Amino acid sequence: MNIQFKKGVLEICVLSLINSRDYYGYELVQDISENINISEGSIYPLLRRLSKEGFFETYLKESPGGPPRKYYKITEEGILRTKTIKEEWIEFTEQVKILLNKENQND
Amino acid sequence: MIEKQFITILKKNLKGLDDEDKNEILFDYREHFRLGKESGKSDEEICESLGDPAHIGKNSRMELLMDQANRESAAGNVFKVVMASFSLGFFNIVFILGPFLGLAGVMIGLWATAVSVMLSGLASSLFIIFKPIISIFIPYVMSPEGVGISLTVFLAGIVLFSLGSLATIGMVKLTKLFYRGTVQYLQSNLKIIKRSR
Repeated sequence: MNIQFKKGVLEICVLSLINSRDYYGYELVQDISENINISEGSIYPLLRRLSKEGFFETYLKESPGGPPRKYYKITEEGILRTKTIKEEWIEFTEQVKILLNKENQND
Repeated sequence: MIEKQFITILKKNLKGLDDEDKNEILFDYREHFRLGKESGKSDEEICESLGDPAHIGKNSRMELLMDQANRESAAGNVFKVVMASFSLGFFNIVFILGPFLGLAGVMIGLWATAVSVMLSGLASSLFIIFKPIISIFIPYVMSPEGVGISLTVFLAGIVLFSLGSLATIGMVKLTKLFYRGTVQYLQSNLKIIKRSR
């Protein structure tokens, strides 16, 4: 898949996943890279940026048999942002679909 | 590559950041390595899927410096960002350093002009006021003769001083604008670079 696509989609995926439940970095990265082929290192800077913009809070939680892990939790702002960006995404893909169908009709 | 090498390269590319920021970034990747190994992956596999540590470091550093420059205006911060942008391998020696140095030169020139006009006005007026005292210490001091000429020089001095002061105030505004502009230009530049990767 085209790299530009991925970068744009990544933010939506990260927001949407953390909106569904709290994640720690590693499992979030695994969940995403299972479906989207992206260099995993680029997800952490995105998590930091979105946290800094106030969409996530972080906290440390003990894990069985190891040091505590850093968890990401969605904020009120983050919930709003997820809603908006999802709507934009759906609207956008609908428009693209219409255009692609037009091309098929012209064939 | 193994974890140690990855972290070393990453650290090298985070130079100049606050320890707090640096540690936060390193924490994330160390945790990633730890959990990756717990789930049975090898160092090589983890490094492979993380991507180039130098690239990750440079980008994280650039973003943090940009943030800092946006929050607290200081000449040093802008300079740091300009330098950091080179390390990202921008085509920027031409597109950033040239215009940046050129404009910075113009700014310095304008500052010098504004301040010197202001100071020369002040000096002329003060000279006329204190001429009697000065001529006690330096009897042969060159000076305009006659009350009329003295008054003209005095008033011209005040006018020059006022103009110079206005120009200086203008320069303060212009310098702020230049600062904002530079940061914003670099930011848009960074976005373009990121998109093309």
